[in-house]
Amino acid sequence: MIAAIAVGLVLIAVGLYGLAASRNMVRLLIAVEVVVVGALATLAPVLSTAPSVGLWALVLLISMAAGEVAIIGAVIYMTYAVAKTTDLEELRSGRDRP
Amino acid sequence: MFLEYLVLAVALIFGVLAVLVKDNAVAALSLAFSAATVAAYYALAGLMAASFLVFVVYIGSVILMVIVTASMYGGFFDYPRRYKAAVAVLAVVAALLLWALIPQAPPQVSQELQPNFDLLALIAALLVSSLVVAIEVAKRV
Repeated sequence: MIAAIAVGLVLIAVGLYGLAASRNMVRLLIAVEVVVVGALATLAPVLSTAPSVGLWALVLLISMAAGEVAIIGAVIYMTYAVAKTTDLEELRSGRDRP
Repeated sequence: MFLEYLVLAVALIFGVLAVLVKDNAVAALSLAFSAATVAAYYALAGLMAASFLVFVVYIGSVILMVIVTASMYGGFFDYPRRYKAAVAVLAVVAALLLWALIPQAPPQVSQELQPNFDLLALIAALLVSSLVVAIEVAKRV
């Protein structure tokens, strides 16, 4: 179970690195989900020792992940419909694409 | 014990790949594999309700939406048709190989799944409907 916590923490760190380093909105969405997967792995020992608490924590985590994906996905669709790009650098510079 | 470590290592590798790979569609698929291996770890630990929740609700709604989004804006639709067919055939062959190689023991569903099933089904329906509403709202803005 310690291995699950270690893997989860590494995945959370990798996801945070992806959040900091990526400049595309889709990659941001994927990096957020890597963090969620890391949290899922970290929850495994809790589920083993206290199943009811762990299950509710899991339900909460998955609900939060669904909310994140719904909001970020809607923002991506709307941004692409308006600006025809999902690249944050292009959005910041305000250039019109041909 | 060795199998658990192997599953966790696979989850770690695919999670790192999801961040480092340049193609959005491949990154989303790596993320799906990582989540699936974490769910497999839950199943190995005997946590059937949690494994069901991750496999059906998380991968079936959340990760599916991530894959669709990444495919729409990651260039997967522009890939040649041969590539898509090769990926589909490879996935089917891998699934059949796993089905054949893994020993099929009679399923031992623990008792924790049954009382929680209504709750899990309700949450699954709620999440899928919320994602559909989000897409529809985004399309109409």
